[in-house]
Amino acid sequence: MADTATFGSYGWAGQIARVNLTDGTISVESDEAMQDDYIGGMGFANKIMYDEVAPGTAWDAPENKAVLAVGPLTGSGVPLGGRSTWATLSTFTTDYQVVDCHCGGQLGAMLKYSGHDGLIIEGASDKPVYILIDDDKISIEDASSVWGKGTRETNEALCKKHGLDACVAAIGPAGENLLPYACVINSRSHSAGAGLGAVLGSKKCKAVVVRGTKAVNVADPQMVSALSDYMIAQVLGSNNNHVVPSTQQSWAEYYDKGSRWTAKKGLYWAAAEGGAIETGEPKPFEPNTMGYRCMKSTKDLGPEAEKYTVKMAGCHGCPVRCYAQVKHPTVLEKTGYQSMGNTCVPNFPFSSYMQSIMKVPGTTTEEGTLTEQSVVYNLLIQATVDDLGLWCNYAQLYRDLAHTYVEGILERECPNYADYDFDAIMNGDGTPFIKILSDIAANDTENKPIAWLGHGPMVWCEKWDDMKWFDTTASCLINYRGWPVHHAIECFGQVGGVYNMMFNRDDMIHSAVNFQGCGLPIDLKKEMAAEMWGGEDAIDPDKNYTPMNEHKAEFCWWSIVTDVLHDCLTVCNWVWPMAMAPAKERSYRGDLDLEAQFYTAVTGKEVTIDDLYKAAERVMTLQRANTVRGMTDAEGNMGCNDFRNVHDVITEWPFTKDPDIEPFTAGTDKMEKDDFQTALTMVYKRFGWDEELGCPTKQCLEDLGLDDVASDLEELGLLPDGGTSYDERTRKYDGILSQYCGDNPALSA
Amino acid sequence: MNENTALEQVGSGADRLDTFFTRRGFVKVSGAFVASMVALGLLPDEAAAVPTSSEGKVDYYAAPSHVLKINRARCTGCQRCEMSCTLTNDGVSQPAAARIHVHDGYQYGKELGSGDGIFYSMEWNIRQCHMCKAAMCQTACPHGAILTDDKGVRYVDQEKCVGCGSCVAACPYHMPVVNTVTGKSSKCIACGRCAEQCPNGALELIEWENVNHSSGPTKQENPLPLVSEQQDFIAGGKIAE
Repeated sequence: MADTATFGSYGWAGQIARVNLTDGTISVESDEAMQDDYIGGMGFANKIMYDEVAPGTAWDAPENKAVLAVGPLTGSGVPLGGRSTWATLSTFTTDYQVVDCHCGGQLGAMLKYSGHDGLIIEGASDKPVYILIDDDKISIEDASSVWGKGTRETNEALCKKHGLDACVAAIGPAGENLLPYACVINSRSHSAGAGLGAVLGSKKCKAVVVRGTKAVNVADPQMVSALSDYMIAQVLGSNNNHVVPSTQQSWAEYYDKGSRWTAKKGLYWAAAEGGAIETGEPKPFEPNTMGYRCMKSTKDLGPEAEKYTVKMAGCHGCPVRCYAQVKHPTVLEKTGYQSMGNTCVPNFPFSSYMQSIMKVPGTTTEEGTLTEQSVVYNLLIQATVDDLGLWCNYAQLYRDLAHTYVEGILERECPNYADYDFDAIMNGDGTPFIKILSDIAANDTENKPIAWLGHGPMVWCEKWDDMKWFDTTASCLINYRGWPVHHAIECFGQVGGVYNMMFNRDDMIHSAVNFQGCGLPIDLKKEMAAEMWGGEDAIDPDKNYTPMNEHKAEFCWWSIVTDVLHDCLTVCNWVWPMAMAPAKERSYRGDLDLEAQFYTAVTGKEVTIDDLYKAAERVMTLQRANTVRGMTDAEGNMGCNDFRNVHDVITEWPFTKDPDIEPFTAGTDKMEKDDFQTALTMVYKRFGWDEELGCPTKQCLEDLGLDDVASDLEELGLLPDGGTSYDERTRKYDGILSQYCGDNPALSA
Repeated sequence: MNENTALEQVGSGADRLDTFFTRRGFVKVSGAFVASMVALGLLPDEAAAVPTSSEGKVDYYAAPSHVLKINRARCTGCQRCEMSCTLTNDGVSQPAAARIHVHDGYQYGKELGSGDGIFYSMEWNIRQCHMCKAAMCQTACPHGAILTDDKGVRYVDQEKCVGCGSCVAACPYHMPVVNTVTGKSSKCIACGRCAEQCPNGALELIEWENVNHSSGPTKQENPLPLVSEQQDFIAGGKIAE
């Protein structure tokens, strides 16, 4: 334990920077009052957005803010603690309500090491600027030399100026041009989406540059180390916390071909410096092979990518290493960029989202294996979008692009359609994607209408008279307010379906899908579900569902609060929570107390996991309350609390797909309408919200200590009474798996 | 693996001293010898004045027992080594003050134009203490604050250190770091915690050997031109137009 007089308070840096780009004022303020109730990250950012950005503010108005925040575990040494969260107003979903934009890379850790838990960017500059945070020194700098540049060139130019150890989070041309689908990129390929890039563009803020040399002070460093060792040795799996290998291996009782634990004998980082490095058979209890488990290049890009694989990488502080690092001569020739690789949509934009609609010959073998052509198509798109700072609305851009091409909509609507040379694309040359995506990022809708695709389906479907796309299964659009599925009905039916409704964008919840895809057999998972969520019927096998029940509601609630908790702490929900483990020795059970134990070890504050879940519930409820203030009703009046009929409205295709199969029969993930409404009711109840409307109630807000929010909503006439009380609706999770956690050092401390 | 012989204790590590001692065939060291080295100006005054072992023996050029061996091709850039180092040795997580460095080369390698880093070759250097037998960090310290422990490993006496940075400048690899918060220097003590936490086995704590040339290249032979100094192909580049 290091003294607080020298190193400051435990966990949190204790202060947030505020930069006003209108008048140039820069200040810092304490965040101590928010720490216990809102934790950090998404909690801080949403609290600030609620308090400071009035309902009805336009996303591109100077009154909108962009709030970056991290939590107490960020950069502390806790595994997977390298993430960060921004909050701002949505640029592409109905009513432009508050959204969270998460990113990994180096940004969160560097911000913390600079001595700040957050950065509030407010106002708007009239000339291009960037914000420089160099430990305590914060300044607004002239960005005219990098305005118009891609994110790679911007990163390089600003590192040249401020140090190669600085983290640059930059917008590209898409953000400068106020394209609603613009993102902020740090560390080459780590993206904070949801239109954040356009918000920064509207403020003429090209980048945030952070250098940090300070410490995250830790109350019990030995415990942080001991818990990390325990977690890495036996609790943590691979990417998405998949806990079995993807192929049969001598050490493993189970395997599952869908697993992201893809290392195997004979599979190499073939382009490694000094000769190929075999991924081999990394096992539990081998902390020094953990980073080989997830071989992401061949998983995403197909077997042809092996020879281009240099290594894996990923976010700060994470031992999982889910980011492919590949170099491809054709992509270098076409783009000028040598290094490629991602872990999410930009790693497979063509093969996963466009090919099924476009059916380009030569992209897969007859058996369906991805080819060399597929590698090149995917990497060309990836290189282009990350440099342009162009986000995809969780792949919607790619589905929409393929759909509007195939249906002839682009040809009909774009006078310059010939520029895009789709014939070349259909004949094996992916180069035109560079032109297509650059034109979208240019956002010149008058001369190059293809850019409407970058305004989201809420805009282009109406403009081009294609609203039926929302109700088409292939669209994957799950909510009429403009976002697509993010592990929805295909992930435990009603559970995924309901949590896809909760936010003002795609949900980015991985707690449930990690469990779904972890690779353990369904019977074992049902036993685990009973322990965690109260009944085996909390989960169904894939595409073989049962009607809604109380345990599914509990599982859905838990999926939401754990996701929000991780975005507050800030740790990675793409792997956390530790609901399962790879070690047979612990019966594959995870350890749900680890977040709380790490929180206590880092901050010195005693909490249980139930305390943290309650804080996450507070943050989720606060965001719903914020949406109540700004959402418009059917008549167009601002202020509406009818989530069920206005906000949480699932699209039609989940009920109409697979026309020859009934819901709740084997072979379909089709939903049933009344049952889905029941599911909403039960999840609303679990949160203490109004069971009919789905909005926060007076009782619920008071239970969570949000009395001021209750007053606000009451004044607006948008606060119903009632709601199930906290104690009545809350299941205890503290120590729920402790019988399997004999090696947990916090339990023996 | 080199044995910890008297010859080596006299002092290799820094090449010129190594050559000197080998040529002259010195096999033993004594306080008088150190004093004569000081008189010749080859060592600082403190070498004669201060017994640098905690045991009080004159073993100024002791061979450290262990050293970190690295393989940069295996490094995936998670930087857990830096955090683990400081959690163990300082009680805080502070990569900038770590005794091993990955972060500063992660993006662009040793220097801009090296052709390394995640923006180019996707290789970067892991910079670690070479555990020199003639430790320039130690000889350069004007306050005698870098001492030698029983295992021959140099460590910084936090009481004596004034954070002047002489050790950083003297180290051929610029490995010590003056902590921006405490104003004190820190250097590797071969505790091995970084290696324990490396998810890719890119670090290994081994019995001492000369690792000066074992860490792989520090730049690309034919680095690609910088994107900031040439046509930027994608954003506003020739294909897009």
